[in-house]
Amino acid sequence: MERTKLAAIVEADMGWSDVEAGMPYGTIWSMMRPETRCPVRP
Amino acid sequence: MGPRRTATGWVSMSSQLIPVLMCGGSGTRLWPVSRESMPKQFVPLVGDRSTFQQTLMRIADGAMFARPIVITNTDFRFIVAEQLREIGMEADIVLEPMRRDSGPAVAVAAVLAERRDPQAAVLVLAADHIVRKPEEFIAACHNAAAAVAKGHIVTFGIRPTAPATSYGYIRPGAKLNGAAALSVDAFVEKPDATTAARYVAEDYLWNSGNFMFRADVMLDEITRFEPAMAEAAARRRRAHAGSRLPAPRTRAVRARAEEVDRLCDHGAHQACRHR
Repeated sequence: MERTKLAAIVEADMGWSDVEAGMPYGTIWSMMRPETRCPVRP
Repeated sequence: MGPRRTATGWVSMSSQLIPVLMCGGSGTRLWPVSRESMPKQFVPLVGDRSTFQQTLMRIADGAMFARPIVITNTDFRFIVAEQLREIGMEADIVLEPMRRDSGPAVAVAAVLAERRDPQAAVLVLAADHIVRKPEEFIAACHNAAAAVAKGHIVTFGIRPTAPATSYGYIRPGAKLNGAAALSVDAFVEKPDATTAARYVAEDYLWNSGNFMFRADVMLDEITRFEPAMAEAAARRRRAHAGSRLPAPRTRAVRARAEEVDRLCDHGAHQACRHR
């Protein structure tokens, strides 16, 4: 499949993570405020 | 946006970056915390604000960023408006008639941004990401803007901290002249664990899914690689402005023409302005 020749990448050391894809659910759960946690810890 | 220091020197941007937040997803993998009626980007998962609000707050500097465009689902229009109000920010809200992939959203973003300024740099951001070093995000935006000004479509790459199998990877190529950016040798989909370990060892970067482009460049590329989608977008452009035709393609740009048309219709006729 042909792609653009204009693609470029800039490295960003910005402490990035994708909540859903990048963290185990248990990790997310432990970071959450108590009132937003689901009742049962995964 | 005045002259700014980048990794390769000072660059002068004539206009602000136009941020586009994509937040139409339902994030149901995090159910029940994230659910159809209150997806994860609107939940204060980490910190006092939702990641949607945190994303907006990172682009609150009016000297650098223009009024943001928020692309969301009709189901979430009141949540978006309320969360904007909570942090005292304004945005142009574009409502998707139904959930779509990022391709049509990018096309609509480019069309809307082009109306403001054809050569404006458009910064497309996911609304459900965590950024722990906002100052580095700003620095990356400056570096990206320098490459975008030269006509590149820039994605933000992340140095992997582990051989994650849940992210896409990018194999960087040669350094681009005069910009703190690298060419892209290859985009690769989410790998298995063995392949991910090799990617990390070979200095691949994670593809964050956040990117920046010039509106006219993106529309030209869409025309080149997704002509049907470009045609739908062009109808909107002719209906609402002059009539130049565009151009590309990134992996994100993939959708049926009618999807774009519907989104563009919405962008054109039902974009509501939250004040």
